[in-house]
Amino acid sequence: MIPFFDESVYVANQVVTNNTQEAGTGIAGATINIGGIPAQIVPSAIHLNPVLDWSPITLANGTIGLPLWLFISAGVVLFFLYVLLKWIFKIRRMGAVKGYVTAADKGTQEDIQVWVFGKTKKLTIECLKYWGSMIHYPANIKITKWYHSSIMATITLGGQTAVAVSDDYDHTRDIVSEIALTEAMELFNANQENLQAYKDEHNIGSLTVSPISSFNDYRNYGRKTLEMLYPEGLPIPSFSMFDHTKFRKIFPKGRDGDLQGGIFLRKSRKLRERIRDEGWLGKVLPLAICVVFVMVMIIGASYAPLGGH
Amino acid sequence: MAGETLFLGGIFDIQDPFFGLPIYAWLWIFVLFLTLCTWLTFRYAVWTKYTVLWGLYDAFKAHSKAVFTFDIRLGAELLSEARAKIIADYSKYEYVLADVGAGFFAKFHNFLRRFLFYYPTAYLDSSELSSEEAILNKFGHVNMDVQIAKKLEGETDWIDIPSVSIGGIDTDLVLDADRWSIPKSLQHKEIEKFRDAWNDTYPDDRIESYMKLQRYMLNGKITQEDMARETPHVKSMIIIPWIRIDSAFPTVIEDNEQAGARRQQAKDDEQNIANAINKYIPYVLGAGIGFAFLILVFRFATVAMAGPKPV
Repeated sequence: MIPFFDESVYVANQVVTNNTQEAGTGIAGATINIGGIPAQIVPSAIHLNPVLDWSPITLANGTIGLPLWLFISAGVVLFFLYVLLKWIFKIRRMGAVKGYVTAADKGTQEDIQVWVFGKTKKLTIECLKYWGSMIHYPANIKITKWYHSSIMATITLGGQTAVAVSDDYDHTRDIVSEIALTEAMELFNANQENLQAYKDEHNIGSLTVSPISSFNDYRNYGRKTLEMLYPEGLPIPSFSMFDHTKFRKIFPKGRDGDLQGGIFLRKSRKLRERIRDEGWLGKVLPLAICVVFVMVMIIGASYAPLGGH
Repeated sequence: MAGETLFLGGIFDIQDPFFGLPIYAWLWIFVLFLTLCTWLTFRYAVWTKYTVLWGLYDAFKAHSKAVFTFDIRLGAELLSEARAKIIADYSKYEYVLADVGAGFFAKFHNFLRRFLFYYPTAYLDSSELSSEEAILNKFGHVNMDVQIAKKLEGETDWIDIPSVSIGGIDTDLVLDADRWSIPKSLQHKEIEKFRDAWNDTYPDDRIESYMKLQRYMLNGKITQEDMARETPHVKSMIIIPWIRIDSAFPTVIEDNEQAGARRQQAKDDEQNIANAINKYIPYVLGAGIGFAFLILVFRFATVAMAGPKPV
């Protein structure tokens, strides 16, 4: 029911608007009896709206009405929560690439955007630390580190630079070089017979014809052989799909980013953990103690009694 | 007001003395203002920072893939799968719809058909795209070029294994070393023309994607002469110099091992330099002890020269 009422005096629904403090109690909710009907005295500060204060639902045996404005308020709050949660979920969806924004915000030499390829085929963009050609996590508990030696392996995304790494290799990765090497090695391995015939025909003793299937193969003869075949550089298809797992067979064994490539780095990490920054006092204290000791000696020498004198 | 008691004693109905608005109205204004601030903050202070990566979210919404393309200098860009892999933009073709007749109702019918027409229906049959889906996709701006290209080219020719997953979104990493996928590039225009000519000649072996074009260039199905004649600016191969390969994948891996040690050495040196003041300790000690000794010697000498004290 939507009541039509006079704003100043309203009794239709057992509510009275009393504009004089004397007549009312001054307390909202107090009731008086008008013509046998219990009615509520409304203080002068309260103004009831005929539409918004209408109660579509009444509780507690008809004594408490839930006004329309309450439902509108709930709607407004729900709308706010909808907007808030929608954005939170939207931003959370970008959690995997949050490092892009973090690195852009920090913008220092040390904070760098890193594309981390996992063995689980996930790619995340993280903001890591770059210091002394090493990429590492800010937190010491994450011991994974990578060596970044090639400026040509630096990615650019939206004006921000980045490097690509994976947890199974302790060096940063260059997508272009990896595609080039993969293609060249696959071609080389697939054409062993032709190469052998070519080698025999031209009597090229230094050309090793044997499949390249590991890092040792590549290091021992593969690199040299490929350079003999392609002296200017490796040809790469202009349009290629990059599969980051395809090149893994060529990674040196046991050189995960977690291991940092061997005992050297693990040793250096232990050393780093032992060394603590002593602070200013720690640095000056030994000299200060020495100076005090010397002063005490000089004063002692100056005033010490000499055989009763 | 149907009840005998005001809700919460009517406390929210109290009017403010200035504008005469009840408290609940002020609460509405406050919450709506908060909503606006929240929206603006997230939209412009947070979401804008992800501009180059919005495609990931779009891919998530559309249940499609995202593609990171790289140029030869590793300049990365996030593109839709259609833009990154397909040569033609099917939405740009002119589709002629035959009129169903004259008269007012026929004209209205024609207008409605044109208004609701969605170009993928010209390629996909009703089992692949129903009328309802077509209308929804048209007004939902869902791009279906990938499905069209797959059908035209043949599913078997399509490489459909995503390289990686970024936050649950399948993502391909594509190297586009010769700017093929950039619509305004000369290479793209030549490829587009070549594709049209090829598809006219070989309608049963269509080329719709760059991958297939690249494969045919490499296996000789598209000859060097064809390329030189039709696509003079398109390179099928790019040379990567050895210096880049050696830097990216060194055969001498001791550098990797030593890098951490070098870093540690630098940190140690930094500490040593900071502690340099302590190197004066031996000199201070030596000088102090020497000075104290001299004082003692002089005092003994003075006492000895002074002779016995008078009684």
